[in-house]
Amino acid sequence: MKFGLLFQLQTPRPLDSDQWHEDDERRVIHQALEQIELADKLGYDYAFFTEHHFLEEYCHSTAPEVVLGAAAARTRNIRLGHGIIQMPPRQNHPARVAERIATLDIVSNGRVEFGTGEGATETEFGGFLTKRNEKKEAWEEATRECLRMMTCVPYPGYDGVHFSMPERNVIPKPVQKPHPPVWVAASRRETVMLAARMGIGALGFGFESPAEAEERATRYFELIRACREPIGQAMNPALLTVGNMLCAPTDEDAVERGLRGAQYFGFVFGWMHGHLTPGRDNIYREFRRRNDAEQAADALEPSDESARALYRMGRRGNFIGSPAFIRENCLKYEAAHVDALLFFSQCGDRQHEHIMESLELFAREVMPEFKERHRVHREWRSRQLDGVRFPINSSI
Amino acid sequence: MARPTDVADAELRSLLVAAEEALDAKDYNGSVGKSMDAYSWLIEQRPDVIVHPSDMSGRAPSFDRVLSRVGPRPWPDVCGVDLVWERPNKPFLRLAKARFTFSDAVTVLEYTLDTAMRAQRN
Repeated sequence: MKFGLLFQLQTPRPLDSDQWHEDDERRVIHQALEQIELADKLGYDYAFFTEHHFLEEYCHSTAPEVVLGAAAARTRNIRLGHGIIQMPPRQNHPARVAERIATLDIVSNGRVEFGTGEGATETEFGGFLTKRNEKKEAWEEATRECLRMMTCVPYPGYDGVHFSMPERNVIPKPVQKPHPPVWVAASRRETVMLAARMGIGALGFGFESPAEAEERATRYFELIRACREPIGQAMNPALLTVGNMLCAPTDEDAVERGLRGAQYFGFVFGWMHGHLTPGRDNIYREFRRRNDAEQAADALEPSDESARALYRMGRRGNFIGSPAFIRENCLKYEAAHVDALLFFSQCGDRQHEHIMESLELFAREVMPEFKERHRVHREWRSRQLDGVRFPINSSI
Repeated sequence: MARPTDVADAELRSLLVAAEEALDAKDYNGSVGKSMDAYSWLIEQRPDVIVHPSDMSGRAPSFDRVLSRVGPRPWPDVCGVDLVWERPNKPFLRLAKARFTFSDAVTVLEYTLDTAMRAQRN
């Protein structure tokens, strides 16, 4: 099983001001680049950046291609992924996507992962006047044509529903042939199966449990084997899932350093799906007001030890803890045949120094055994892919 | 996850098998239609497995909101078929567009199949 990082560039507003301080966004971006540089040295396999628009505090990663370009210059081996590019043409014209993906692939010497998606919230796709009922079909059309632009010389042109363009040769072409590995954001089960039917990887943004992940893997690879018309010219059979991670010497340290950031992530995530007033909400201040009130609820924790463990587990997920705690949960995902785990570490008000320590501790005490066993996983994958008659371009 | 042929009820199974056959034949409108028939059957026969959107959004923003994503999700309302809740316990499906694509048809089929299997397990 492989490991990577996922960045949203979360930037909470300060408590003492209605808007960010001058240095806040600069600090978050440059700290993220330091974290990627360290992750590369430590042997993490992936660094993905999301793309969202207008989602204040939740995600300031609005131009991931720029930050990934900077990351490419500072790293050597870590693969650089879009998690994801919003493909409806009103958000990103497919020719511009093909140009940026190919250029990043050249700049990074062939390390790009091409994650695609349709955009999640009304705030985002509505900001570009993409309609809810059409964004999935727009994603499908644009992704298919974008991949043709990367491989056709020239691209013959297209007269479609969501975009049209005349014949052109879209340049440059990517280093990875026929094109970089393709993924789709899959926070829902049915999208994982759609990915399989299209021959592409599923970026599992649904925080699946190990049991859910295993259930999906069986059907996913069944559909991969049955795939007769991949969306691209090479398939990327791959399942990835996401978790919020903060590793520290003890569980108590990890909870103290990491829990509030994870809770803020959940809080602002919920806010994005219903409440946002552009330019005016101080979501972090509201989170702190409610969170401080909820601390009193700790007195309501179950007294029974096993029930209390479950209560705390439910509140902190699978990857906020000591190396031993995180390892036990990683083993469950490995057993479920997940190809890679992506960790959200930068979230809320987590301190950069704690994130850096977390990355080092995990890499030193948890990662090595999984790297060693990855060849076993690859043998399992090889059996799953027996009979697939299309080229495969996958970094797994 | 199971296949349409794993659905135990004969009527429901035939609808889902037909939906997948239409998908394989690139009749995406036909596939969506069959999946809608199958989901309507579930609404009628097993209303207990139909997820109401408020089941997901009623909670205050918190980390629980993220963890809640691991459970059954409401109808996928991005594929041109809406699940309308004019009456609290009796929703119905309504077409919101006339032309469906591969990804629309797969999404509706897989969601309906998953709901059918949940009904079968419970």
